[in-house]
This record gives sequence, C-alpha cells and structure tokens, in this order.
Amino acid sequence: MQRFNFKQIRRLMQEDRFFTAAYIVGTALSIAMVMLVLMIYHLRTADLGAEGHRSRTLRISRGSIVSKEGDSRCSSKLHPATVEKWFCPMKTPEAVTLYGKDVGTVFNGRENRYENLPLTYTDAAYWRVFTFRFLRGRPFTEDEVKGKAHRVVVGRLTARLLFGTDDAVGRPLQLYRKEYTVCGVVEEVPTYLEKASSCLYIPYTTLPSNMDRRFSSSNNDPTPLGLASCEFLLRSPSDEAALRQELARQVRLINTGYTDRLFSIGDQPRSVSFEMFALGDPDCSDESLRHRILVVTVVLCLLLVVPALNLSGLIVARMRKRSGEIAVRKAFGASAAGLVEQMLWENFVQMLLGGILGLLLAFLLFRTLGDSLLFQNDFIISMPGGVDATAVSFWHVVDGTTACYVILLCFALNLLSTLLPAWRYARRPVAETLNHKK
Amino acid sequence: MIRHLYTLIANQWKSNLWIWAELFLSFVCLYLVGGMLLGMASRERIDKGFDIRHVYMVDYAMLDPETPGYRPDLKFEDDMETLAERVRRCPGVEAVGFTQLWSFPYTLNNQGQMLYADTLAASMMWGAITAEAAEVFRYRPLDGQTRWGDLRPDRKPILVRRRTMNKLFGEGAVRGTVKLDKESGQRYEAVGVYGDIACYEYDRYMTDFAWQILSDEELLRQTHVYSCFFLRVREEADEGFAGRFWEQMKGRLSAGNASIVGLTPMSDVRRNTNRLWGITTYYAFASLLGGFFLLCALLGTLGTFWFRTEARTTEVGLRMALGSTRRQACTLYVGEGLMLLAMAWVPGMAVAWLLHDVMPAMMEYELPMPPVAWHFFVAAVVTAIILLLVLLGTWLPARRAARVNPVEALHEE
Repeated sequence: MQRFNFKQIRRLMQEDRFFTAAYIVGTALSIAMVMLVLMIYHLRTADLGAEGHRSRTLRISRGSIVSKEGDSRCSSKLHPATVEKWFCPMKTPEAVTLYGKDVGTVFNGRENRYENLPLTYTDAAYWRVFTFRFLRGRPFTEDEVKGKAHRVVVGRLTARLLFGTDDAVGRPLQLYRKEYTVCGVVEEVPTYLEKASSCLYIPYTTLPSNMDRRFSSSNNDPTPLGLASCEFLLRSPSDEAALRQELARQVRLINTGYTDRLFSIGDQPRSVSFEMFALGDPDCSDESLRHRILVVTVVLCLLLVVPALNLSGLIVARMRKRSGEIAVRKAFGASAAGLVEQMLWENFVQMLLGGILGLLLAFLLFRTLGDSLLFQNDFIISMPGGVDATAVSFWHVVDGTTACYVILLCFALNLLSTLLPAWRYARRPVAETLNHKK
Repeated sequence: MIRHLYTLIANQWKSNLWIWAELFLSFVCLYLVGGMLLGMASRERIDKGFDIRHVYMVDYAMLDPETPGYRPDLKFEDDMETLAERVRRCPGVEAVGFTQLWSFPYTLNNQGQMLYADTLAASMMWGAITAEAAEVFRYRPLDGQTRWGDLRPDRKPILVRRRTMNKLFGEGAVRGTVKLDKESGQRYEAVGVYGDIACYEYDRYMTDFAWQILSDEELLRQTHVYSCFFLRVREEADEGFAGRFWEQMKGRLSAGNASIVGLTPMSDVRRNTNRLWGITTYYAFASLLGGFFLLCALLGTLGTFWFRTEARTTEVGLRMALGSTRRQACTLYVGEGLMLLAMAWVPGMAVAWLLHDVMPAMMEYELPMPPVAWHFFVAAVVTAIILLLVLLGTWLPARRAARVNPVEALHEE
C-alpha cells in the first residue's frame, strides 16, 4: 500500500506541476516563518556553543537606587566592586562572574590603522560560567585578575586580524595606552551568543580608572551601580529559590551601608527565557510578559492558519479535478477513511518537501538579515570586516530539535489544510460525484 | 455586471470560502502589521529637537594612579580641556562639547529629578551639558534668538523641552523659573527648546528632560569621569573624517593622564541603542510578517484562479464563440477576484475598526494623527496594496485562460 502511494504521489506531482509548486512554496513560506520564531527561541535559550550552561544560569543586569525621599532615582548596571564584594562570595551558586562590555580601540599594525573592537572585561570565573573553546594558550587566572596583570584573551578572527596568525599567545597588544599580553586564543563566538561574544577579553581590574569607577570616583561616594552584569551558574536549575533567598539577604546587607538611599535589584536574577520575552527590561511585569507571550502565540497560530487556508483552497480546487477518480475508487470499494488517509499521506509528503525548503529558507533569512532578527540584551558594537561573527551557524539552527519542529509543524499544517476538504469529498455519494463531474 | 459576478461567486461558494477567508484574514493581519510599521516609521519623522548628523562621540581613557607616568598633580578637567582645545583646532571640527553620561541623545543611562514651578511639578530626566554641547547637538531655543554661549551662568540656565515648559508654565511659554525642591531658595532659569522627545525617538514614555548648562570646567569638575566628549564636524568635512582625525592628531592624543582612544559616529550610537531596545528586531520582524501575509494573499489568489480558469476553459470558449473578446474574458476573471476582495474587505474593515483602538495600545507610542484618521490612513494603504496583489493574482491566470482557442475548447467538450 505504501509503495503504491509513493509511486502515485510522484506521478501526481509530475502531472500537476503548478499545484505541486504552489503547494510546496505555500508550505515553505509558513514553515519558514514559524521556524524563524522557533529558531530565535532556540538560539536565545538553548545551551549552545560558548553559552553551553544557559539552562542553569541567571543574570542580574540592572540595579537601581532610589533616594529615601523618593524624589530621585538612578538605574544602571552594577558596579564591579558590588558584584565582587557581595555576590561573588555567595554559597548557593556553583560560580558567579561579573562582566561588562566596552569598545577597545587597538592599533592594527598590519593595516596601519586603529580598530574599534568589542571588548569584555571580566573575572576568572567567566571562563567557568561560559564554555569557551581555547585554541591556543589559556584563560587569565584569579591571581592574575587580583594582581591586575595585563593579560588579554582574543578571538581567533581577532588574532588573525591583528597578528595575521591564530597563534598569537605572547604577542603584545596596546589597549587603553597600556601594553597587554595575549594569553589565550578562543574559537570565535557568534554575536547572537551575546554574553560570551567579544573580540577581546581582559581582567576587569585592569580597566582605566574612569571606567570601572564611573558613578563613584568623583567624590569617593561608593555606589553599587556601574557598568557590569552579574551571572550566576547554578548547580541545578532547582537551586533558583535558594539563590533568590541568599540574594535578598545580600541586598539587605548592601542597604545597611546607606542611610539616604535604597539599592534594589527588583525581581532579578532573570533566566534566559525571561530575558527573551522581556526584551531587555529586567523589571518587565508578569502582566507585560504574559501579554508578549500571548502576542507571539497568536502570531504563530496566524502563521499556520493563513497558509493553511491557502493550501485548503488549492486542495479543494484539485479535489474537483480528481473527483472522478475518487468516485471510481469509492465505487470499487474504497472507504471514506481510506481515501482521507491517502490524501493526507499524499499531501504530507509534498508538505515535508516544503518543510525542508522552509527550514532552508528560514536559515537563509537568518544569514541575510544577520542578527537584526535577534533582540540584543547587551551592548554590542558592529565588528570590523574580518572579525564579523554575526552570521548564524548552520548547526546552531538546524539540529535534531529543529528537525522535530519541522515534522510536527508539517503534520499540524497538513491536518489543518487537508482534513476538512478531504473528508468532504470522500463522503460524497458516488452517483452525485460522477454526476457532478459529468 | 456586479450582479453577474456575485452570482458566479455564489454558485461556487464552497470553493470560494477558502480564498475569501484568506483574503479576510490577510487584510486584518496586514492592517495590524502595516499600522505598526507605519506608526514606527512615523517616529523617525518627529521633531527630535537635536541633530546627530556629523556628530562623533570621542572615547577617552584615563591613566590609573598606579600606572607608570601617572601624574597625581594634574586635574582631570585641565587634561580634558587641553584635549578639547586640540580637537577644536583639528581641521573640519565645528564644535566640541561635554555632557554627563546620561544627558546626550541615545544614552542608555538616566537620572531622574522633580522640577517645581510655583505649585506645579514635573518629573524628568536630569543632567548637564556645556553650552558648546548644545551647539554640537543643535538644540534650538523656542524664542529663536537665544545663543547658548550667551546664557548667564549665575542665573543657572537649564534647557527644558517645549512639552515640559507648557506643563510647568502654560501653553507657549519660552522661559520660566524653576526649583529642584519646594523649600529650596535656589532658582534655575528654564529656557525652552524645540523637540518632542528627550533623547530617543522610540522612547515609549515620552520622557521630559532638563539639562543644566554648565561651563566646560564646571561640568568636568562636577561630573569627572561621568563626562562624555562630543564633536561636530562640518558637513563638507565629514567624508573620511575619522581617518584624517587620527592622522592630524597623531602625537597630540594624550594630555596629562587623559588620552583620546576612539571616535564613534553618533549614527553608530543610535544604531546600538535601537538594537538594544529591540527596534531593529521589531522592524525586521514586522517587515517579514507583512511580506509573508502579502505573499500568502498573492499565492492564494493565484492558485485558486489558476485552477478555476483551467476548470472553466469550456465556459470561456463558449463565451468567446458567442462574441466575447479576449479582453472581456480576462476582465470577467479579474472582476471575480475583485468582487471576492470586496466581499472580504467589508468585514475586514469592520474588524479593523474594532482593532483601531488596540493598535496604539499595542505600539505604546503616540500616533502622528488622531486614532480615527490613523485607522483610515492605514486601511487605505493596506487596501491599495492588497488590491494590487489581487489584480496581479487574477490577471496572470485570466490572461492565460483568455488565450484559449474557442474551437479547441468546445471541441474538448
């Protein structure tokens, strides 16, 4: 029966080329759009590449200070000293890291020009929280961070841009008017893994004084705000409640040092899934979040229903053409259920072809539109030519999970578009169908 | 003719139902997506009150106290003023100014403050800029004649945007006096400036601002490393400016403990802010969705009419045998498509009308015109686009059908 079906499907596709093309393109469009949304979710939340621990990391990206009178409010990222003193020693998480993003202007001796490169300043725990692949050398150590050693880890493409080779370990690099030494070269991280993506990684303790002491150095007035984020790596996702309790204690301790203001981190830390729907707003309310999830769900449904109507119209038109064949088969004893099953199979095979095309189309759209489809939660500057890592990796978007998504979507779309017209035609009395045909 | 078309559609209502439903849904979806896209695009055209074209942010770095060569006797403001003076003399540079970290266009930081004028109060973003920074960003005074450099420092001038001036002093006010708290004796002179936004055109909350005007020395001393450094280049000198800047400033990039380490065009700062606030993603997605619904409508119409013309070859042949021209046969199919669109358009417009109140709430932006006028504007644009699509989707198969030879068509029958 199956063999017969496949042969017939192939013949049908060859006979009715317009229908086949319209059907496959219609399916591809729908699958491409739905997959685009699902791929974004996948790229933003799955454990991928250098962000291989996303499922058990939580982040604080903003803090705020409100004066006791309530007439003044200031919000920003966190001061490295705040994270170092109050959050890094916490016991619940497996590791805590602080990091901030900036632009590093370095002199490119090979091209004889200055380059603005994305730079991350961080601590030694960063290399545990994120899963980088070191091609050469090693990360900077805790002692080097504490000792303010001028070490820098560079991305592979950056090493090629600045030194013309991957093996840049030991090479000097001028940054902030200081000489840094390359201690490691890592595999380039694409920009959509925004927490880990950068060209240069340096110990935060080596930042110029106007950067790490912003918000506090003018009058020696310590404030917990600055330009760093804090990332917690949990031992298990179930540790979240314990972490929140410990954090609340730490925030209370921070506030004991102030008489005129109140420091707050709101409902942070936040998970990657939350950050995706909160669009960069760590204080996003639950209601707002629910509203956004509802909008995404409605959009996903529309992306399936509108093409399904389109495909149903096409199927109805073809059914009319094939009504004679259906009637003859019924006259020879085919059941209505058998006919519906056959039509579902016929269309499912064509739909799968459309699904594969849709998946490739979605990937191409990603490649063409770059990471503008991916909402950025963090500061990212455009990279110069040669180190542009905005392109989406094929194996990050096309894997077992996305293949399953495609098959399920094709199944759903097939049911939506084929079931009703097929059932209607399969149940029509033979005489009526033949008469109508005549 | 219309009655005839209606009869044709009604006779095949079961097969027309699908394409009707698709046109109806596509119209409603395009109305929503188009409305949002047009609404967002209209934000680009509002009067921002500042101009970032030909403006660069100058990135600087300070030496650490423990770094060899660090001079503890030098003041931050002196070093920065020396650098600013050198940059001012750089060919092509029109103006150089400083602002606080949270008081320049497209900043990602903010600081709030209440301003009081008699019994009225308003909350706003609070910061400071130098008079020359007001020139760099081309803030325009409401009275049309104030020169930022001429404002008297002893009167503590602050730039306040028009909306805030109206809120505090009544419609049309260009100057006024404000205080930072009710009891304080300290008064500031509010100078009104044009512009409908504080620093970011996609600001959902339409924040107000009040920027104090300070001298270079005072701002740098007060703000220290919170200060941001900007320059404006003459329009004709902007092409290739960054490359020439590094050449011309070679050997003069450091003064005391401060050094210039980078030059970022404000267009990049804006792009980064847009990305960070999701605007780029929003545009990309809305455009993709719009394109998707348009393609669906086109494919649906094209597919349905392709099969329809195939199935009705005999009918066309008969019509032509009885004297119809090819053009009339073609018009019949196109008319059928337009009739179907009209039948989907009427309930589509009704649903769009029900949704017209929802759109501003979904966008969280002020619309450029009253909601009713906006509804009709968006509906007109979407109708025009979908009409073109249906014309194309029906004309292509109709043209093919009209080419049929009546003798052959009737012979087949």
